[in-house]
Amino acid sequence: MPIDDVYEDLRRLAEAYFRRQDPGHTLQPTALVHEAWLRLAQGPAIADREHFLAVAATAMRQILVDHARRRGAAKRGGDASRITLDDAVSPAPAPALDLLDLDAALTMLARLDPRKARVVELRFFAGLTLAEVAAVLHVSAVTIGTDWRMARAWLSRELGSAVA
Amino acid sequence: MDHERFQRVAELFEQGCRMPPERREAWLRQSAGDDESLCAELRQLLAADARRAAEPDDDPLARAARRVTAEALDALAEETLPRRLGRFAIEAVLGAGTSGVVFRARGDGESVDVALKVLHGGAGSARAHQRFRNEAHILARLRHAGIVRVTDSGVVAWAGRQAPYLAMELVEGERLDAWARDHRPPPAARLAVLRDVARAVDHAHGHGVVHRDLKPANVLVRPDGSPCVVDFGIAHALAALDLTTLETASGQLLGTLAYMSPEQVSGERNVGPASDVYALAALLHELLMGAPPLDVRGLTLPAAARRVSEGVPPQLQALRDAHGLALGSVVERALRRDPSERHATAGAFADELQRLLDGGLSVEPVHPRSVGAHAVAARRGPALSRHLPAATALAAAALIAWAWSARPPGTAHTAGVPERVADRAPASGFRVAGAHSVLTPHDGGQRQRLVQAATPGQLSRIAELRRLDEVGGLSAATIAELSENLVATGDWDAAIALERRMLANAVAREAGSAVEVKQSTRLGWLLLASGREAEAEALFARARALQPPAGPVSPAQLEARVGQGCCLSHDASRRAESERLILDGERALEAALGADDARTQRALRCVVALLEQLGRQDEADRQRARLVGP
Repeated sequence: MPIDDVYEDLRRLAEAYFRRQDPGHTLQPTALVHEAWLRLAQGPAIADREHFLAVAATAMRQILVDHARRRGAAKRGGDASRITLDDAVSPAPAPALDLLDLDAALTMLARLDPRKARVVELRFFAGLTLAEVAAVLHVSAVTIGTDWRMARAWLSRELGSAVA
Repeated sequence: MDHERFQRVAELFEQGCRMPPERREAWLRQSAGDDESLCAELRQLLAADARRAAEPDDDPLARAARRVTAEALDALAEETLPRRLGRFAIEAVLGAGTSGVVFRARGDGESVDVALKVLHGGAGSARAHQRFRNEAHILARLRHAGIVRVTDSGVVAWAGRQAPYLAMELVEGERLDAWARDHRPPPAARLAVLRDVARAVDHAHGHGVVHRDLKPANVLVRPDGSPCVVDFGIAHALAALDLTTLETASGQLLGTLAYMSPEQVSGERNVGPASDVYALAALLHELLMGAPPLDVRGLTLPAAARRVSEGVPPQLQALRDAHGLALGSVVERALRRDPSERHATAGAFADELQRLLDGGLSVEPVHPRSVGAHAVAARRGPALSRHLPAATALAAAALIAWAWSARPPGTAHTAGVPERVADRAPASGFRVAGAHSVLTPHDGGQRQRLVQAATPGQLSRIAELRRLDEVGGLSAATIAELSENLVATGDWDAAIALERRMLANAVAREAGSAVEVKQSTRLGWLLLASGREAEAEALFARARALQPPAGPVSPAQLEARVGQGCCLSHDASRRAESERLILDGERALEAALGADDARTQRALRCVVALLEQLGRQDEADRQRARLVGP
């Protein structure tokens, strides 16, 4: 499943998605990726689904980063009123993380340890749980857990005060 | 920090995590020793780790990432589909191009939706925006059933930029090419729609507006069949933009190039109403032939531009053949490279189309069987449609066989031209292409050459015969040549009529004779090849039923067996019978006449076509190898 095709599919899907079926609801990229999967494949085998998600995560990241770059300035803070806070988000608005910073940090991490960066990418852009990440990467859950722990520590330090 | 060092850090970090905090410092000293930076690194990482949440999803990093990606997605959404623009509530995206987007929107306080075309703010210069606005004002003055009505224009803030917009009536309709594809209208209806479009364009010309971007996407056909030109003059505003700044939605640009007049492509100054006339003709060409005159699909941008400004439309002869000289010449004139040679106005072009319609362009195709997406309305003789149904694969085989050395046995080969014609037929002849045996007749050029190859005597004979004069007095050989010549020049009706005459003569002379058998078979092949299977089958059956005067079954009757099998091939319930007839018949012919005899070869072609149709490709290939000639 070449990444360009997935990119295009996600792009089109994103555009179709944004017909405001549910105005005011902030769409999570993960929901989009899963929806893309459902649309692109009927009755998927587990292996296919995971492979798809692995590719989709990268595609999603690319889409969002490209778009943020095109917009020019980094999105800082953002308009609090534009984002609907869902349960997972802390009610106290923190000085926000910048997507491009996150992307840059991830890219740096990938140079140092590709798998750890991959774990983060799959978690953040495809919304996979650690167990699912382990399945996609064909590595034990314990190893993934360790990867995650190190990656988050490293990223947190890199991104500094932007992360609470 | 490099890869190896990072691994070291990671290892130590993992250990450090397991270490109880109070023992950490000592362990650090022990493990990292003198490497101060390593120690510092680890201390920082372990501190960061201390802040992690128990639940990975609860983790501050994860939460922050979620928030920022949602935000990014939101921004993407806003750019793709804003909720509001100015006084309009946006409902949906109707279409998007390189220059802007068309939304379905509703102005505040209004009762109907409009089509809101918005240029991407910032695209092009302020001058281009000004021109856009000027055009909008002109358009607002145009009132014509065939031109989309403009209701409002102005500027809105979109994604932080000033974007010019045009609010238009929302036209319910299909794009011109989709309409043609979905509804399959007859040629006359297509002409009528194009005529209406030309009249609308003419109206705009009268107000000093040239469209410059007529293409299928810009012509919508309403449910009642009336067309509406949209995107009027917008292209003009964008002409100021450098082509290179347009993104490589190159499919879209190529879509425009295909209908663009040469002077437009070259960027010359004499772009005017005649440029629209060119585009109108290009649209008509596509409606009639399935593709614009200069097809640029699959080409790179520079190659496409070159093709448009220098190329010669290759299908004009085919258009003439299919739709007649009159229509062909109208289209041809409108497609001239020199604008001054075209119709001066879109109105003049529309008048020509009206004249053609009044002159009674036949609406029904001559052969109902041959209706395809672009039904052929023949004027003189049937021009075989390019899309024969699959069932006539065997008819196609018969056709090849017939056109090639189809002389009845016993006729002398005369020297000179007739032989050349016959020899030429296979080389430039009918080809069976692909598993579905789409038949492609001689193209016009080849046909012309064949006619030229005939002697003046033959040509006058042909002319006489087309009037179905007396065929008595001509030898069988001459008749056969003439018949072949007629087939080769595509004049099937005349060839069939001639053969019928011959058959009638044979029956009149001596019913039930061997001559009648042979003649019936000949006529049968012709009818089969031209799609008249029922009649062909009747003839073949009759030929078989006639008792030969003496001796074994005659070759002609064996041929009739094969021919009948071909006729039955499309009838699913008689498929087994069909197969038996063809295969047995061919075998018998081979036994009686040898593999190289023309009649055996003809039957062999049918066998090959049959085997291919049955999917027995290996066998088909083996048999094909035994064929002599193409």
